[in-house]
Amino acid sequence: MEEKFTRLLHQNQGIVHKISNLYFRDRLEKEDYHQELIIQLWKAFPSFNHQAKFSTWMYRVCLNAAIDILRKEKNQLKQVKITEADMKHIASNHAPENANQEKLYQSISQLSPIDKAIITLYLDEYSYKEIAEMIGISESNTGVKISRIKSQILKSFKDGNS
Amino acid sequence: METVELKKIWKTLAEKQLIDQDMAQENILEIITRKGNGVLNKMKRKLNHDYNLNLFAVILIPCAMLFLLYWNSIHPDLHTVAQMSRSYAIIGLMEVLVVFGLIDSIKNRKFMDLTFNTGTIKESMEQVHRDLKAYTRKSKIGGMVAINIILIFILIDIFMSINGFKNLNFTSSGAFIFESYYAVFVILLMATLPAISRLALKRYTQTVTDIEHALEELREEDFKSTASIEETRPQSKT
Repeated sequence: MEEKFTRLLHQNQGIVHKISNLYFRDRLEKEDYHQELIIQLWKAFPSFNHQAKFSTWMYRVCLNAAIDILRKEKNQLKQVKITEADMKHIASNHAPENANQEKLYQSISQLSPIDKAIITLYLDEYSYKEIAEMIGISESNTGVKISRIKSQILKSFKDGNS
Repeated sequence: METVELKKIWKTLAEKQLIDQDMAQENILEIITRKGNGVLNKMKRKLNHDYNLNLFAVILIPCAMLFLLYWNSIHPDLHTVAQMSRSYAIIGLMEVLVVFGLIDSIKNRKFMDLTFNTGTIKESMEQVHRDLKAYTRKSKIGGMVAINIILIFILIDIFMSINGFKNLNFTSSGAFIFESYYAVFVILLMATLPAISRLALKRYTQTVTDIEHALEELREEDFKSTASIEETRPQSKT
C-alpha cells in the first residue's frame, strides 16, 4: 500500500505543491505544511476507491486539509508571518515577464479559502460538474461563483494596469 | 483579458513558481512513516504539554491542601482560623484557575482531532460545525458544573470556619472580616461564571460563527442559483 501511495503521490505531487504554496506560501516552516498535506493524504488513502481519478481525490483531500489547518491555526491564534525571504522572493518576481503571474497569485491569495479552491480547480481545467462535486454545491452555483471570482481577478488585473 | 489567457498565466505560474520542488518517492515514504513533523502534530505536541502541566497542577493543588490540613492539625497553636482560611482560599482559587486551564487544554486537544478530509468541502465543514458546536456546549456545561462544585466547597469551608452566616462581619473592625468579604467574592465569582466561561469559549464560538457564515454563503447561493434556473425555465402549459 505504501509503495502504491508513494508512486501515485510522486506522479501527482504538483497538486500538493500548488495547494501548499497557495494557502501557506507566507508561512514560516513551509516544509511542515507540505508534510502535513502528505500525512493527511496518507491517512485518507484507505478511502480512495478508484472510482474517481487519483488526482481528483487528491485535490479534494488536500483542499479540505488546507482549510482545516487554517481553521485550527486561527483557533490557536497562531500568527501568520511573512518572512524576509518571502518578501525578497516576491520582490524579485516583479520582473515584467512575471508581472501577470504575480498579479494572478496576489488576486488568488486575497480570496476566501473556498473561493481559492474553486478557482484553482477551474484554472486546472476541472469541469463545473467535477468542481461542484468536490465543493458540495450545485453546478449552477459553481458557474455563478466562477464567473464572479473571474471578474474579481480580471478587475484586479485592470486596476494594476491603469 | 480572456479566460484562455488567464489559464495560460496560471499554467506558467504553477509550473514556474508554485511547483517549486521535486520530491523523490523515498522522501514521501519517509514523511508518511515518520509522521512527526506536520503542522498539526507540532500544535498537538504543544497542546499535550499544556494539558500535562495543567493536569499536574490540578492533582498537586489538592495534595498541597491536604498537607496544609495535616500541618494545621498537628500545629493548631501556630495559626489563627483567619490565617488558615486565607491559605485555603488562595489554594482554592488556584485550583479553580488550573481547572479552567485543564478544561481549555482538553477542548483544544479535541478540536485538533476534528478532521474530516474525504467528503466534499461543504460536508466536512458541516461535520466540523456540528461536532464543534456539540463539544463547546458540553464543555461549557461540564466546566460550569465542575467549577461551581469547587466554589460551593470553598463557600461551605468559609461558613464552617466562621461558624455560620450569623457571624458574617462587614464592619471595619472585629472578627471574620476577611472571611466575610471572601465569601462575597466567591459568590460574585459564581455569578460571573457564565460570562467568564463565554469569554473562555470565545475562540471556539468565533470558529463556529466563521464556519456558519461560509456555509450560509454556500447554501444561499445554491438557493439563488436554483431559483434563477426556475425563473428562466419556460412555464409548462396546463
